[in-house]
Amino acid sequence: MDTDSGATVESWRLDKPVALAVIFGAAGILLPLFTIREHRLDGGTGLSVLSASVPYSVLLAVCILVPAVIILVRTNAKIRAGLLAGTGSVLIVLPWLLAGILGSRELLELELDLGRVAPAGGFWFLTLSGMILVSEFSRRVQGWTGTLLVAAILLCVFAMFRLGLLEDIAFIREYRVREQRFLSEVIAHLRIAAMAVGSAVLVGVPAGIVSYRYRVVRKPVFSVVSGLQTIPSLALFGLMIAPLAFLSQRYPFLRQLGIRGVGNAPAIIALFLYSLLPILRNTYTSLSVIDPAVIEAGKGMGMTQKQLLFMLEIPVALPIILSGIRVASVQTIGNTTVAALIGAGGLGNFVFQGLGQASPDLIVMGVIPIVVLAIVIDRVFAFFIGRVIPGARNVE
Amino acid sequence: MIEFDRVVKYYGTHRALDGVSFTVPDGCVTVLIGPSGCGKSTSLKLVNRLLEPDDGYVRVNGRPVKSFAVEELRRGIGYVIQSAGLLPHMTVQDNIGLVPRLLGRDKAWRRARARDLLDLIGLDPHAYARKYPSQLSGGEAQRVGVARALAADPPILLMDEPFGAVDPLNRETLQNEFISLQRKLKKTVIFVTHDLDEAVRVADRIVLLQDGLVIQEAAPEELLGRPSNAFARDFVGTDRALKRLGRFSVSDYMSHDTRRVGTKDHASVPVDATLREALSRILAIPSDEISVIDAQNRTLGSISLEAIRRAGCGGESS
Ligand SMILES: Nc1ncnc2c1ncn2[C@@H]1O[C@H](COP(=O)(O)OP(=O)(O)OP(=O)(O)O)[C@@H](O)[C@H]1O
Ligand SMILES: [Mg+2]
Repeated sequence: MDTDSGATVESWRLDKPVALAVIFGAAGILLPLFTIREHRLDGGTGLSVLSASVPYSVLLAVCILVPAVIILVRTNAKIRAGLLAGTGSVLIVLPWLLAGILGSRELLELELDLGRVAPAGGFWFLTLSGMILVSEFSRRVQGWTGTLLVAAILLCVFAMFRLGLLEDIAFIREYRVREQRFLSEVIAHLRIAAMAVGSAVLVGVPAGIVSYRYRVVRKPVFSVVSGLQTIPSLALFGLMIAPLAFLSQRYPFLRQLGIRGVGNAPAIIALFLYSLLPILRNTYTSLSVIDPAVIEAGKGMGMTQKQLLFMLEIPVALPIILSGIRVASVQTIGNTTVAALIGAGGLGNFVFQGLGQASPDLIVMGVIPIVVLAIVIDRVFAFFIGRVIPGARNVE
Repeated sequence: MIEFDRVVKYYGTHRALDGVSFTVPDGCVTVLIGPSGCGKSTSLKLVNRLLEPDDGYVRVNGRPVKSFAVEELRRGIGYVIQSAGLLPHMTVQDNIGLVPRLLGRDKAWRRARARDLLDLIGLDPHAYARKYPSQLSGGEAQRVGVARALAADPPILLMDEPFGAVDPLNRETLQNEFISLQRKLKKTVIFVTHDLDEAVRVADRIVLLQDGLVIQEAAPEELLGRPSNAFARDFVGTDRALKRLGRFSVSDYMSHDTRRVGTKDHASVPVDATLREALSRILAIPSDEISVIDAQNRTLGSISLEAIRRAGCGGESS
């Protein structure tokens, strides 16, 4: 509970992440918050908070000054964490509201019925600044307080969306046009990632256990899997196409299973190969760092090899194994975007469509849910890992 | 009974045990003692087959340990390891209940047993049953290690420096608890230590090892009174006569003649004290004699410096 109070006694050190957040935040206020565009492909004119609304500028400035003061002044650790959480949340949520409300007002004044408000540099800098502060907060508190804050922020933005406050924002416009497809692409994205990570768990965890138990297989397994990791992802996707196309030509039953040179199959296989290393490595390492005295105790009490593995080694290693799966999952959610290039579904479709049409709004519309999925999955794992760490539940 | 019969054990080319033979009688505490690296832990692990000998035999009740199914053998032998070795993902009560669980005992039985054992080793079950090993001090963890070894009520107990991580004061308390526990339980115990005072306190027999060889196998009084060679003499130290007095009880050497003691004399010694304590008290008073009292402060008789000296000399080779 009191782990941070020692930090207040310690000599002053620059808190780099928070300092970075302050700089980004300041840039966010000065740069254009959003641009007003007459139509989809219009370059638009930028508008910063300073020129749009003085009261909101003051509010944002306070949210940046508070962390700046935190860096300079020694305060109680609890108060400090609370201030980080508060200012961080405002810096994330407020730009959405401003783009929604101030943007719409601007459109009305200019009488641009088909105009749209596109978030610009200032918007993204403020978001980044807020995200840094929130993650600094999560790092400083125990348990799932951090997860709770992230959930609250997401809910807040979602509520504004449901209340119709964000309708004039450019990527929301793009979303409205594709509402039907959006959900199915999210599901496709998740399905591809889940199948890849799921099979990587089914292969990687046993491979890690076998490498731990039998020295001979360790070298070959690790060199193959880390070799795979060095192939650039785009190349790996490409490499999958030729052999799979050949196989499905050769064996028609594979085609009936949906295995072709392009589409889901090569994407899932490539993503699977990518997820393998973090899962394998964490499983192996977590088992090999178990205190030998604990294993000796287990054996000495008469555990069989099987009991030793399932009642002792795996449970003790579980938190580290799970964090390997966490890394693989977050990474795969990102990589799945690229899968759209070889004809698999997913949110990457929107991104590459946007690239093709030179429409930044559409790209952003594809990227935002990817980031949100990655954050949510990361927090879910953080929650479960916290639960399986021995003693985590009854530490005072 | 456990027998070591010309046991040889190599680690690579290093000979850790070089033809070790000794016997461990039933119901007694046999202490293995010797300097660090002399092969004490190695000997223990040969009993529950965490190691296999390169030559010779280890027998339990006349049967070579090799002829037992290894898991069955281990579940019948309580094992307290040098660094406690509690399983970090289990609570104290689940750690204690582990061997019973392997033997198929149900949860309620294991919980009740864990609580009884926590009581027995002097830890409050309410406060400790649900703690995790990372929340215990070194001494508490070692006590839990002892409780875990006792959980399935095995006839044999192997204890590798069970009180190693405890401060001297608590260590003495634990040793006394162990002694009274052993009086009740009558286990066949092999107890490893490199602390001679601890050995003298808990042992029925002592096996002194050096570089994988048995130097002397004897009762503590004998080891202290007649160390068999220069190494043994060095090992037991120059105060061996004093240590030896620690093995004798005042009640065996006192005189029951109550008239001989001056009633005005305040100095006294409890009847269940050792001769070592009696000597220490006598040296602090001007007299050669001190009265012996019972728990109710009644004078039972007296003990004299002369009687202590005679007890100390008994069997001494000079
Ligand atoms: N796994 C091992 N591999 C190689 N050598 C070992 C191993 N275990 C023990 N040894 C060596 O064998 C000898 C006896 O070791 P052992 O652990 O039995 O000593 P010990 O009497 O228990 O010492 P301590 O009082 O320090 O615990 C030592 O010289 C030690 O270095
Ligand atoms: Mg040892």
